[in-house]
Amino acid sequence: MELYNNSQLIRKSMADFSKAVLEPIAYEDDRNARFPKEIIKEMANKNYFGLTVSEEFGGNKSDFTSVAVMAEELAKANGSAAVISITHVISAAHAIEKYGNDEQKKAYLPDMVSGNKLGGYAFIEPGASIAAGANKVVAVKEEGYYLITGKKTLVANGGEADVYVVIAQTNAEEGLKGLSAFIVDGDEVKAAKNIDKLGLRSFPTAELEFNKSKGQLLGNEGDGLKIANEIQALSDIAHAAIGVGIGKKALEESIKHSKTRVQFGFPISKLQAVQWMLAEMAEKIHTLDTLAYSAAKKVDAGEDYMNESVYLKMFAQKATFEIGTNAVQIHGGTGYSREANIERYFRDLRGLFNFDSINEYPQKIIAGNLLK
Amino acid sequence: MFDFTDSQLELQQRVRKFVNENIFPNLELIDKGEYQEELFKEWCKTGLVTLVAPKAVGGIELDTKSCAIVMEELGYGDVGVATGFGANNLGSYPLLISGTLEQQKQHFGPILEGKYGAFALTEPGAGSDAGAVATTAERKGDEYILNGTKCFITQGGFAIDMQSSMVVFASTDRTLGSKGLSAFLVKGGTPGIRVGKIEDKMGIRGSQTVELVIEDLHVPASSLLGEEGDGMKIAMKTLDSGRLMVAAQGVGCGQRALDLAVDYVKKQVEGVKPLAKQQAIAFKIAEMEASVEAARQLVYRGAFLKDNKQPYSHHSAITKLFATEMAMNVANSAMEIMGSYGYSKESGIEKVWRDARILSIYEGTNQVQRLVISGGLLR
Repeated sequence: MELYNNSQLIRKSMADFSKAVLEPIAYEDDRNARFPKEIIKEMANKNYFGLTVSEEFGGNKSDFTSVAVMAEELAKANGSAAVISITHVISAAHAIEKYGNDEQKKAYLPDMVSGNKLGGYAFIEPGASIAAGANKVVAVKEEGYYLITGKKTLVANGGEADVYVVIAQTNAEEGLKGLSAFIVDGDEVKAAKNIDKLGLRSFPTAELEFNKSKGQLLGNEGDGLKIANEIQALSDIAHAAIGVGIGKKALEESIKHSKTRVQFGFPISKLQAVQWMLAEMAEKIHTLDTLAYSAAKKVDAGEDYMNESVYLKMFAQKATFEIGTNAVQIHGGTGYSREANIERYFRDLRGLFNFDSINEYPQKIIAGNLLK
Repeated sequence: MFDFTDSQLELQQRVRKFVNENIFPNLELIDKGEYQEELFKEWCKTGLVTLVAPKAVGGIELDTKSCAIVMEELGYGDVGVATGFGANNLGSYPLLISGTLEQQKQHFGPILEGKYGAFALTEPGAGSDAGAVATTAERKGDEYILNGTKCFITQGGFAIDMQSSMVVFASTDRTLGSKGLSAFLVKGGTPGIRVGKIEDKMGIRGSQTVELVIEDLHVPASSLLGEEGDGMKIAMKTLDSGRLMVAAQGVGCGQRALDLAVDYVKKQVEGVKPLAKQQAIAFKIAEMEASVEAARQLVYRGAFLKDNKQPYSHHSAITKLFATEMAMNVANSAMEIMGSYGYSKESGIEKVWRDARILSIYEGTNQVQRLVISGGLLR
């Protein structure tokens, strides 16, 4: 089975770009939690931001596998840059491409492809999960647009994006079915605070305040949950590819370290305990790789990929932690020092799959299906 | 075995008070690596600057159980701070094992005045393989001359700046391998030993970790602890004791992670359902508490064995292995329960998670513990 289709062709070019442009800034940007604004244009120039946008609106729409390949290759050098890009091309551009009307697509997509506008995504709310129906961000219909009020947190590309896809309540009585999606311009919202994180530190996350912010409805009223679920599932697949990218680098560096680190008169790669740790890392990376790209293939085939994305997420959350843990352990004290890349990989891996609510746990969804 | 005496309870309260008043309000600064000297000054006021100095030299000579209580409480506050303060115990065990009264006075004198000691064994080429120490000590007349490089030395820079006392391991005969290893008492500030690189670490940023560059360091022959070639034995016995203390920190760290998760879960309501009523969360909390408690029992049993002069080396390896992996896993579970908030710095668990990761690496990686444990069973 060939999981990668034509994507191998673009993989090389992405890998080269990643190494040349993203790797040199990764260390300092992680330390300073600096958003690497300058790379947005550079990635756009490489046509990476058109991967989910049709030609009509300036894009070079490709299969989803290519998006996963991009996520993986960017992540090999810079996990934050990969998540910034995925937020842009999936959560914002893809959502507008798929659910926007022609006017909206014309207004936003060409600028998003060219990197003039960066996309962000506002879903999570402080205190409780939106999926539990406890959300407090509401959208009220006015002439021609909606006015959105409330607070979102951990907004992806928050504070830096020029355009946000926002999930808000249009009909509180209907609960989840009353959720709708909106396009909101960056200057309509206020970034109340940046959220400093364990890892993925140059991927900007912020708390955003909406105060009668103007929003354009994306799709129809009540489409919010459907759109949010789709964004979530596609992002999970892409995040798994990011985990594969970081994981491969962590494994590569662990192999190198184990072959050069001499203790007891021989390289520690001769120790069975170290070999086992390497093998277990490889097992998890290989499985994650298979899960990510077979899910991407389902997306491309137009088949239902929700189940795949959920199983993948359940596996990935544990696997990414274990890959990182082993990589640090093989490196010993060196792996704990910020001088080595390993500790950054470990922190970045830890952030790819966080569930803000019991409702988002893949177990809940799988069990729900089993017990239907 | 597990009952605390009144004085142990008082000790526990004293450290808790210190943690609440001096560590918790300053966690952000501590995590930046700042505030270390001020905090240490406050710590000295508790009378616990070193826990292990013999009464003969003016110390409080706590039993192992009391030491474990202190380290558990400090680990609850901040593992970095516990590691830093702990240097005055780790660096002092060699004196208890092989020091003469004169050497003990020399070592504990500055420490009891409120200074940091240090324990310098690890080298770039000698981590898990302690026998591979390449630092040499050459006898010349009534002196030894030391040359080499040490790394990952806790509070090493403070010990030098404060002109305090540290124990440095060097080989007096490299042809003998680990049997040629010897331990020396070195006064901080002596020409020939200086700080090289200062490590920038993922966690335990409330302690200082440095490289020590040793170039033609002259120490009097009377600085030798025990005999030439006693170094390996001294180092291993020191680490046997140290492991129980690392495990005690792990228990504190795990307890802290558990408490943060419990606080979060109790406050969080999903829709109309409190998170605490979600079985998936509640059971995870139960597993976390079970493993914290199991590790705690291992620590206090280890302390009991040592205080009662029973063999405890095998047990301390088991304890270090279990308690440190527990701390890492419990911290990770706590972060998972707290979701994206847990991944943010303001959650508090983020720092605990970074701190917890060191415990299975330092003072003998957990792979070394597995070697010790399996070696005991399979010989």
